[in-house]
Amino acid sequence: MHSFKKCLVSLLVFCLILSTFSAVIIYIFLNTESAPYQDIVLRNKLAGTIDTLLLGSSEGQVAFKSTLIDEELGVKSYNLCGSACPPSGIKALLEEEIDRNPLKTVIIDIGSFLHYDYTDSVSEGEIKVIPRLSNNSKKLKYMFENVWINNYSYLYATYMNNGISTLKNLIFGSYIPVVTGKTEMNLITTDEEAAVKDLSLNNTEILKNYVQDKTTDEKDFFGKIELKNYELLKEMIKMCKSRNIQVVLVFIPATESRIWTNGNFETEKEFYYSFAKDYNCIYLDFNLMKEKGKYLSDKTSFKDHFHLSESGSKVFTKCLCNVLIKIRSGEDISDMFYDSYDEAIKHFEYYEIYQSMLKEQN
Amino acid sequence: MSLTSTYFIIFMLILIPVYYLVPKKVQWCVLLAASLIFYCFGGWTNLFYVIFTSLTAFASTVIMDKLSDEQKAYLKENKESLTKEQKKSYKEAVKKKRKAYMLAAVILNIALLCFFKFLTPVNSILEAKSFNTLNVIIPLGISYYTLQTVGYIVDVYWNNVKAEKNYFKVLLFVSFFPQVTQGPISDFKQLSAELFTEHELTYKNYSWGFQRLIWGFFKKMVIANLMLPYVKDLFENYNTYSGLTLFIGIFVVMVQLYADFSGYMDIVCGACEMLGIRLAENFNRPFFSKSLSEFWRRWHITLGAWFKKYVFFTVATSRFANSLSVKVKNKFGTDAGEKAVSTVALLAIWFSIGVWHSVNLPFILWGLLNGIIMIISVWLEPVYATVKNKLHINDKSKVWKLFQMARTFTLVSALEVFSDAGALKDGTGYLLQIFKSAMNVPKSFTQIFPYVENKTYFVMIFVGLLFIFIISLINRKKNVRFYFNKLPMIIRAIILVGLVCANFAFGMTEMMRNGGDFLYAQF
Repeated sequence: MHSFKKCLVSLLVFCLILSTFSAVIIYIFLNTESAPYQDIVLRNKLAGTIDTLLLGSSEGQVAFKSTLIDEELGVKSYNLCGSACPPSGIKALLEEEIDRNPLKTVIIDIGSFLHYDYTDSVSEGEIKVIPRLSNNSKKLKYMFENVWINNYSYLYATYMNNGISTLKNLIFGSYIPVVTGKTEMNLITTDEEAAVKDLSLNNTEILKNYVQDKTTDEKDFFGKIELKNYELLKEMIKMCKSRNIQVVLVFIPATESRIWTNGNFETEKEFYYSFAKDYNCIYLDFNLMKEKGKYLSDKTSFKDHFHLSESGSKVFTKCLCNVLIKIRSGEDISDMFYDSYDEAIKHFEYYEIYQSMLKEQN
Repeated sequence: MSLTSTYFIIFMLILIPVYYLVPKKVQWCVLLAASLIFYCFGGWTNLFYVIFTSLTAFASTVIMDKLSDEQKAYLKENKESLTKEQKKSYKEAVKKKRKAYMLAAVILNIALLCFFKFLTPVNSILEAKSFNTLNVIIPLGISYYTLQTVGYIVDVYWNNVKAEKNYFKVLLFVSFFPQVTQGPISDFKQLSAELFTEHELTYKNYSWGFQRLIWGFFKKMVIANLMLPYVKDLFENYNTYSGLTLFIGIFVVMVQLYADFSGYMDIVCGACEMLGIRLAENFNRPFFSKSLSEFWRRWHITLGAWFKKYVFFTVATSRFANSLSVKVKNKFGTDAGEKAVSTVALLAIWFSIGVWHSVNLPFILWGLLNGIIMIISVWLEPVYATVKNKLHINDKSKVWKLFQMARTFTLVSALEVFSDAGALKDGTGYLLQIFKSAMNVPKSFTQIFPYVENKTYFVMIFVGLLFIFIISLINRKKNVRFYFNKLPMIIRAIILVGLVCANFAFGMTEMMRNGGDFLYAQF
């Protein structure tokens, strides 16, 4: 009995010290000047004023410039996109804002929405969403519903690391505050980053790999749709429709080389057009935008195959705003987009080069 | 179930209280259930192989014991009526039967192990010839539990141990969860004494075990995992590095492997200690070894001991070895005769060890090189003694001992490159590159240690290795936990909390990025 008591006491002492230390560090991360905390504070400040919400993952986080949207459209927008944000997180964030703001439009970056793979995940996206939820009960509820038990150690490690980083930033005064009035998360993309080697089409070895990797299997798209995500998307649209909020599904442009390699874009496009029709929302696929190569060149407008650079995102945002203005005024936008990927590809900047490589391969 | 996963922590949190709350007589049943659950995490079909191995061991040992008992009873009963020759021939007949059962069980299990060992090279050949490959998953820990089981079967044959009559106890011996993935390879006598004894919860077992567990996690998750990307990069891009970087790299590779494997050992031994069970040690400060043979008595101790007991002595006492010994003795003297037997036995043992690790050329070459170097040492022992005398080297001096340690460490690390490089040309290429790029002098610290971009990680690795070194020095006299447990409880708790936080802060991210598998689990 004596041994048992001693074991119990030592275990309790250990747990107490560990939990106290962890609680302090994680509190610092969740409740002081970390980026997610600042985001919550800013959203609370702007609550009741936001009429346009931008949702999605890192592609949207980079691509949507909300200050530009505000200027061009005369709205008050907020970019709620986040790196690796899973569909469950997007819905949770929408639920937070939908009732406390006079939303008129919700723009969703749809690119990777349906394909978010829960089985292949270390719950990284879910772990990133939790600190962005505004209260502790919502955080805990989301955690228990969406983070696998096997990933709790990763969650703990992530928050401890983030807490220590936040503490260092506080001590050394190096934290970057979210700039009041501007709603971008502090993700900086530069033109230098766009000059990534494998986007440069001077490299013939890489081009050859693209040609060899070309897939045309339709099942590759449908096979990867997660039913859970599909249901979440329908629920979000239903939520918005019940409040007369217009939903715009946006496919943020990818590089020509990415589109060239993956033959499923056409299938995906047809799927979303049909979906948008059924659920009465707008679908805009900016890979089909006419003169895309002129405005969004692979070499300067992208930092990787899916993420726009700083300059690219400004151009894209302006294009998006132009389209939305035309839709708002009832104009026909069909002449701004190609009807199919086959047609769009023929107008790619590097179409001739790809064609000659295909011929060589065959 | 990975030992560094949340599932394992939850598993232990449930197992320990259940183990101590159940009646002591059935504690081993709890261990058996836990082992089967642990094993099923890797896929329940794996259980088939464990059950097959344990069944063959159980059946053959029980039959051998029965034959022995029958023999004893028969000879006792007929003590007066049988002649000496009749008794001898009866004993020979029984021995033959026992040997047949022993060989059948051993061959079945070794054949199963060989099937899985040869699976990868066979699949490569099939793939190269565009045939369908064999889609079979290699069972978890088969290399380890097969050797352990074969050892048990042979020990029963040799009458070193009585056969266990309870099949489930044999199953527990084969599948005991802490050691099923990477050993240690235990003796039945030693392990059964631990597993089937009743255990009381003691504060010492609990606290010492817990401390060792946390330390093991630190070694694996922080030191080994943080060093892994550097090690991988060295092997993948050795052509781009300077000779000095590659030379330092061979030691880094060895130290990383040590942190990984000994970290695992600390985790399993710590977990077992919390259950009151002592496992055999696999490491005894190997980098303090003064010769290659001493190194292999301090590194992966149980593997070396197994091969020594069941391969070395079997070969050394075989008819072939005896006749060779006689022939060499007659020609070159008694000493040469004995050394000839050692030569053959060492070649056999090291070839087997190489093959046990992997059926590919780099590992076999690694094994043979170790054996050849030891054989050369055996034959040149008188020459070394003469040279030392002539040079007036005091082999008891600290300088000489340090030289021997440095020499052994360099030799072992250089040999390890062959096995770690993955392909023979990469192993030889790496070593040759040290000399080819010797003139390519690095101009900065980061060129010597290319992975030092993250200064925090580098500091963490350095501090961790310093701790390991200091603890090794302390352990020469007394176990460091003896001194650690003299500290006040609060201080001990704070240190352990610090280690736990370091594990998560540094180890978890690298584990998620680069994978957290233990290196020796691949065997």
